[in-house]
Amino acid sequence: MTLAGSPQSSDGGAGNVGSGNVGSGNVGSGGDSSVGGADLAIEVVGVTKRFPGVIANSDVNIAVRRGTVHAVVGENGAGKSTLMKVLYGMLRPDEGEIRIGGKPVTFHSPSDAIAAGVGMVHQHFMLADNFTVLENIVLGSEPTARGALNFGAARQKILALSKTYGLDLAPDELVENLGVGDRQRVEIAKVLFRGARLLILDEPTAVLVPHEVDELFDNLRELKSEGLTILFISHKLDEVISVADDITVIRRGMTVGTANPHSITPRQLAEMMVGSELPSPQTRTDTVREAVVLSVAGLTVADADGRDIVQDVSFDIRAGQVFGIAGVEGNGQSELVEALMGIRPAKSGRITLNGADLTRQTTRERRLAGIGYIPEDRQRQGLILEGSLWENRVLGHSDSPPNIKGPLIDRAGARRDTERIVREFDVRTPGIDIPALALSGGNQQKLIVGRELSGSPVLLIASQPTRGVDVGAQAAIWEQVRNARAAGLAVLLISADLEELIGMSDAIQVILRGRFVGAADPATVTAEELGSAMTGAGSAAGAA
Amino acid sequence: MTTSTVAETAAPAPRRFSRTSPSLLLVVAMGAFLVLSAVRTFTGGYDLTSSGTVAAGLSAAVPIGLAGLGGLWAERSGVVNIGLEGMMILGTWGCGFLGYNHGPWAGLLFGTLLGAAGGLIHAIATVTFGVDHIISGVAINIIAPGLALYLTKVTFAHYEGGGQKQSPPINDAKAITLPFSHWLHTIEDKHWFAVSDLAGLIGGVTTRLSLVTLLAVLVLVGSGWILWRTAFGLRLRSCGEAPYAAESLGVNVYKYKYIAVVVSGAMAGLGGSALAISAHQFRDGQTGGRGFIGLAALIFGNWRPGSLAAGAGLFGYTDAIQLRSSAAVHALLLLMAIALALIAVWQWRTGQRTIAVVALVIAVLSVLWFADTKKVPDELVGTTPYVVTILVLALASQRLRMPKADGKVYRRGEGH
Ligand SMILES: Nc1ncnc2c1ncn2[C@@H]1O[C@H](COP(=O)(O)OP(=O)(O)OP(=O)(O)O)[C@@H](O)[C@H]1O
Ligand SMILES: [Mg+2]
Repeated sequence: MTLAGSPQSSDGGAGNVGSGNVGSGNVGSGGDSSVGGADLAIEVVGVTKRFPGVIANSDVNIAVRRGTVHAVVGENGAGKSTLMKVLYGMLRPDEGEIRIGGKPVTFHSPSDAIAAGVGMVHQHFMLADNFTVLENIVLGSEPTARGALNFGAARQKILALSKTYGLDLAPDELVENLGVGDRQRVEIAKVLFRGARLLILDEPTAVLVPHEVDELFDNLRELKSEGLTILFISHKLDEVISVADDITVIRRGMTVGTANPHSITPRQLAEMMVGSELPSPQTRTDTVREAVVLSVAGLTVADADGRDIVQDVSFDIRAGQVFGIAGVEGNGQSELVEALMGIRPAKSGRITLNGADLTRQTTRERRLAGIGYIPEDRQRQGLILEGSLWENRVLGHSDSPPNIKGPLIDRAGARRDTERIVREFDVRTPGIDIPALALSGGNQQKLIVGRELSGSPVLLIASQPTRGVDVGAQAAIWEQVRNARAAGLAVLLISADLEELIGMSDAIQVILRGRFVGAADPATVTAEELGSAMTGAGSAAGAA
Repeated sequence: MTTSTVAETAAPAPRRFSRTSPSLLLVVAMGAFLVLSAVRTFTGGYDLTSSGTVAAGLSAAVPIGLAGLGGLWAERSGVVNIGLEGMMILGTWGCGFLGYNHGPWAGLLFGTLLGAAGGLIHAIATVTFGVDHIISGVAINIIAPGLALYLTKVTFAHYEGGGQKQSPPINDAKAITLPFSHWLHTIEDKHWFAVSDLAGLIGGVTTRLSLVTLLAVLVLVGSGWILWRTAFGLRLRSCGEAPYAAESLGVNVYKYKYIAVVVSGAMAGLGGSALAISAHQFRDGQTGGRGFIGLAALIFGNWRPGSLAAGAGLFGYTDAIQLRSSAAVHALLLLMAIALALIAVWQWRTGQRTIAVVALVIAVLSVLWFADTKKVPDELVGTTPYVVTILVLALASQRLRMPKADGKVYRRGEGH
């Protein structure tokens, strides 16, 4: 395979734009694609895809060399997921062509793509919750014996896959009992099970903690060494640079150029994505006040089977304080948050907000008491996907202005406030009447953050607030949270992004197996130290 | 990503696919049987366990069970089929139409086909045109009886033995009697505790067992096998749980939904045919809401074939008792009270306190009613099967979980 100066698609015109200003562009040579075609796993030539009111992809060109990891980066709504769906046969391009091994192909459905050796892990999970891991993996390409599904053979193959790539799969577990990290592995196993030669991963690392990311990347390198090609999307630019062999940058639906991961810095890459300079991160200020806003004492939460999944957790959050919880997914964070929101009952313990006992209150009463909530899974818990943006603005806030006027919904007020959120949080959308499902993942997230920061809450519970959000928007969200914090907002922050956790928090606790196992001082702790404390391997620096 | 060794140990131990273990089922069945014979001995309601009741109950359960199975097929693929009642009516009429001069099996086949045709209409409306599932189902329920009655008037009214509202008689389907069954009747008549009851139960299933009933049992077991053991079944169920995930793996969701809904109609049609055969003719209004009871058995049976069959059996059994003797209906009050008391204990232990209390209150009321009267008023006897079935099923059900995308309109490529 060719290394530097990799062949580009014949249609190199769009590929040139904007790559020059970072001086690292590995820009198309404009050579005949049929020459390089043999080395290319997949090639996108002049693909355009329009949605009503939006051009998601406009004359996109990408050439992916066989046996490489190729990253696609771009802002929220730049059209990355759309392009991947086109490659996987879920969407039909309006113009342009896809070539595999130099030959043009037309995919009418994902099964065509699967047959051509293309597999995809979606940005949002595509799993049946009420099915077992095995059932989810084999669906659509089931091994059979004498007319029946051959569970034995399937189990063996899955366990073998699991062993080879360290996926840690429990074939007979129900998917609904799995955390996001495990779900991610199931998704990857689905693709590998089908024997895909080209893997498309849409933001696979958004839900993983650092060492999980490292292991995923080890897996990817392994796959690569076996000749598989990987096309992946990520907003975490340092990880893109560390793992990718080639990088393609997309901005507002167009290919801006390619970058060489060996010579570009994350900052340069970010500027190439955004098309302008990024603001510098501001310095930390101490805004913590005396008054305790949230006080949790001896909280124990049980799961559906009666096991204690959160055990005897106590903490206080003060006004103007960001309290961070670090932990590997599935150690009780979700249950803790759900108990605080009243979605899941507390088995024992007390929750007080500004001195008022909330332990037996309903979710609605807690929200009215001033709790804002950014759920970890935006599509399952944060939005009505079929509802319009302004209706989603009202969701969860249907008891307070500007959404109501007397007993009625105040459409005009809600719409005006939605316009404000779209403006202030830079939600990229053609309008506020389109359904939430037409927004890109990152823009859905921005809408939720905007909604939950509205109406001056006293406490914000933020689970993965910037998951799937691009660097620019991430900085903007942090800015908004910091401002609210300066005005006295108490924040409970749970994030798999340890840089974010350390950068934002005034205090950090590590959660392991449902218990707080140590405090860390955000001023001194490093992501590595925190990461190992989360696995129980070492104690966090500055442990209290 | 061996990574989550930690998360792994922290996470709850894997909860395996929960299915009641066979030994537990056996214990429950034994217990139920002993209670049944105790109540029979105590009240003298001999028909509680007579072979006649069992046989009648079995054949009464068949249409309900088949309707429920129809619901199972459709809803597992994500289409709510409230039109089962209507499809069943088409089945009864179809069975009458061919059954009276070509024999019960030809009638059964035609009834099944008509039911399938009803299913096809439902599939076209809901899958292709995205009509709301309930609206389409209700429309079928309104049109089917009218259509059946109209067809009856233009056909059966002119036939010998037929009428404005009924078909000429249909012959019985072949029935099998095992050689030892007359022994059992002798034992049954002694009214010994447990022994005679057991003889009654076995006698009921081995004497004049209709082949239609046998067919229904095969269809039940076969459906369970297809839906849970084959690749086809997995795909079909995936359409009801996560159609867009299925689509992303190359499953043709439309195709599976179509198949499921047509089979669903066929099952309902088969149920209707079985009903017509056991009544020896088609009669207007014959189904009497059995399609809905089947649907209830499906829902409270948590969309699983075994539990839905149990629900159908319960209805069939109470229906048979109600038809056979009012003394037994009176004894049924006591039986239901015991059953509800047991359910109350169980629900209490699993943490469902409210349900437990409701069950207990109804149990106490039934005991009082039983003790205070000699018989259940005639006006109420006919409703017993409906009331008992719904009460017991509703109160005994646990954490009902319908297929996640059930009733939702699916459009290819509109996943997100
Ligand atoms: N089904 C749809 N209907 C209408 N518009 C859509 C649809 N899907 C995507 N879009 C629009 O197309 C554009 C590109 O969306 P896409 O999901 O590809 O972005 P993305 O680059 O993946 O962003 P993110 O990083 O936030 O996931 C967005 O403006 C989005 O609103
Ligand atoms: Mg995306």
